Amino acid sequence: MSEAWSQYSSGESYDELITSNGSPRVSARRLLNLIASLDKKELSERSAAADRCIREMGISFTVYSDEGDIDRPWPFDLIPRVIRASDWKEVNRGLIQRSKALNAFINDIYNDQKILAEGIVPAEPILDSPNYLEACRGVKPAHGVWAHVCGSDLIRDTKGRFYVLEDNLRVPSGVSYMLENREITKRVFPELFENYSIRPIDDYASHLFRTLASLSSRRVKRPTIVVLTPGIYNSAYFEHAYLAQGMGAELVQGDDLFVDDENLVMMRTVDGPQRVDVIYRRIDDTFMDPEVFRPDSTLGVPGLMRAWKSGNVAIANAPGSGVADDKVIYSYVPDMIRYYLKQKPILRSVKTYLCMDEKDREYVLQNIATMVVKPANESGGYGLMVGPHASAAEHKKFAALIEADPRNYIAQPTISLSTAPTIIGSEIEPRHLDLRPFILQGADSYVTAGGLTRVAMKKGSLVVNSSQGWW
Amino acid sequence: MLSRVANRLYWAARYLERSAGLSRVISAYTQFIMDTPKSAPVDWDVLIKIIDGESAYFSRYSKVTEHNVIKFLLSDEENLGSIKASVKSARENVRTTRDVLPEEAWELINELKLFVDINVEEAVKRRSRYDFLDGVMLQNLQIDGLFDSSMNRDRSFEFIRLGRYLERCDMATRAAAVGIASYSEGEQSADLDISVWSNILDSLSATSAYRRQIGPLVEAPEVVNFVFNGQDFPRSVRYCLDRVERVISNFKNNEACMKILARMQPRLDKFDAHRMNNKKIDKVIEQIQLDLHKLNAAIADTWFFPEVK
Repeated sequence: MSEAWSQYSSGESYDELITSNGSPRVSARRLLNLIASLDKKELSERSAAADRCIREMGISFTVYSDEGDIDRPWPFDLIPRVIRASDWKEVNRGLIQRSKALNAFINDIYNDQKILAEGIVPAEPILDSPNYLEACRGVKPAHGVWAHVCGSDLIRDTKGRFYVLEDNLRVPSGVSYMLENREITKRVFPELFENYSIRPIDDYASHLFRTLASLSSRRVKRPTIVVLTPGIYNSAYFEHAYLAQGMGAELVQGDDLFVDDENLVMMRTVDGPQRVDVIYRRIDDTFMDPEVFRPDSTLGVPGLMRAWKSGNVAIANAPGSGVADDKVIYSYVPDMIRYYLKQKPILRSVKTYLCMDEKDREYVLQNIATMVVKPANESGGYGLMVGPHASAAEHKKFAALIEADPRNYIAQPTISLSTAPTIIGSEIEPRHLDLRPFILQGADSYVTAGGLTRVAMKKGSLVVNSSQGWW
Repeated sequence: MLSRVANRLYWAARYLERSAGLSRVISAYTQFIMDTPKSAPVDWDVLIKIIDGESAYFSRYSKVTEHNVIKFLLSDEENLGSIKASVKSARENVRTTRDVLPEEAWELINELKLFVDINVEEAVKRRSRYDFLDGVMLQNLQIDGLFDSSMNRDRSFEFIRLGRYLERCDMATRAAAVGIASYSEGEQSADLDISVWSNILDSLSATSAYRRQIGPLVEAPEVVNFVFNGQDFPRSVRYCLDRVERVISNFKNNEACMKILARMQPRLDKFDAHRMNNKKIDKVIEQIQLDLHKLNAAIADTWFFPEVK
């Protein structure tokens, strides 16, 4: 059946499932044979079954818009992506290494600042970053861990080598969609699960629970854990509810909680106030406590920082973790691994040019047409420019932006992301994609087996960001 | 159990029960109208009264026609008491309490909402109406069954039960009010009389329960007594209030609610339709409705929006 794929070509990009001469990769052979054996009608029937499943399971995400219907069904591509266990083993180790180094870094920055004193990482871009929160200085969270949940975005170059593109340390989202995608695939392609040995992922919630429970300052068998959500209008609300349900934890909003005179965090229950041990927060740092940060925030809990600093409640991810979630800091992660862990970095990072550095800036401005330029600390693909796909006017615009605020921009060579066969209408075409695994860090470490794959729906596009509605 | 979550579960249960209850009433009433001669003094406006919808209805519709009334009760989203709006509200409440409910709850409620959204317009016509209403009732039974068979008997479950029985109690009094309203004593034939009261039983899915306990003869006072005081019938006013009391008696800080319930009890004890005229029964219904209203407010004050000392 391999000739079925001879028309398929992803150009020079590495394809996850099909080799450059048009034959299925060994690991994807059974999957692709199954898909090739379906005619168009059968394929569209399976697609329709997946859509129905998504509606019935109520898997939705929220798009910010002026119009009414904010809760949209989840877009899902039918064809699974196969990653070999042997490839994943290395990635798994590399991600844990990275998470440990990043946590050591955050802990250092808010305490001794040794790495700055020794000049391995420059102090200025860190201490001036809006993500550095002076209010967190001197806090020592359990196990020295600040970023308990990390979502790292991985890409593969033309040779199929994995690179880390960025680490999301504030409130990374997407894990529930990864879990639900698997559920849908099980319903739509049950055959695959007979023929492959696929590592299960559905124990994520129990790993998350264990990680969070290990942070509790009260040594009780089942500490009270809550998931703090900004509410139903947040784009990831579905996920907040999903994870709370998976952990048997309460899903709370700011006004469900209050801090009492002894700096304990309490939740309002039908049986009266009840003490909270661990907060898995899904709201941004500066919304967490109007006493310390934005006084206009109604999403948070007044006094929460007091309670956290007195060690009465654990917050995951800890306030201030975002200091390492910055594209300037990204370029120093290999140095951190060497400095804190005395190890060689296992995963590759993309060569990063810091526009605040004069030499780098000059290089970027000269080569802007071939590079990807990103703002240093904004998540999402809103303010990003892919040089080879942008017009001369856009090159000019970004050159001006860089010169006006060099600290806030970095640039990287454009990497041609890997592709995978994707159902577009009734055809199968290559589309670029990335991969977001989730790393948990508490008393122990855990990495999800695989991750959420996001697809750039537009042909040739390298932007796979979800806020644009493309997954 | 968070106060906010308790509030939402309670209302999720009320809205679900309302969609099922209203389906029963409309289905039974449609059957009843088909069995009624054209000359009979029965009309569709009874159904508007049952949900206290007069002002909402007449602000947008000028004439009382079957089409308008059914549209108002089924698919009119601006009528917050319509089946479509109830299911939508129930879903919103479940959407925000998924974490304390069985996983299938969210799937089932989505299926219900999809079913309603797809079929409700067509169901305004008589030919498709029965299947639609039947579907809403059956899917509600499925959801009730899921809760009963898979939930821990914890606070979440209790607040669902509280909402369900309170709404059911409310619906029973309203169904009885329809009977009283659609017939005035001594004015019409015995046939029509039977037909009215059979309709009331049908609208509470009570017909076979009534036959088994009271007998095959459908008589106005017996039906009214059954609907109010049927001790073993799970949709009677007495049975529902009894369950409400059982739930509340297990809660902390229940004094205000227990006081209202204690006041309602003697009214039911004294209730006997054989010795009361319609006006008197109407008055009792009104009192019970008022007490239910107070009870609802007391529940909210005590457990949903308590003041923290």
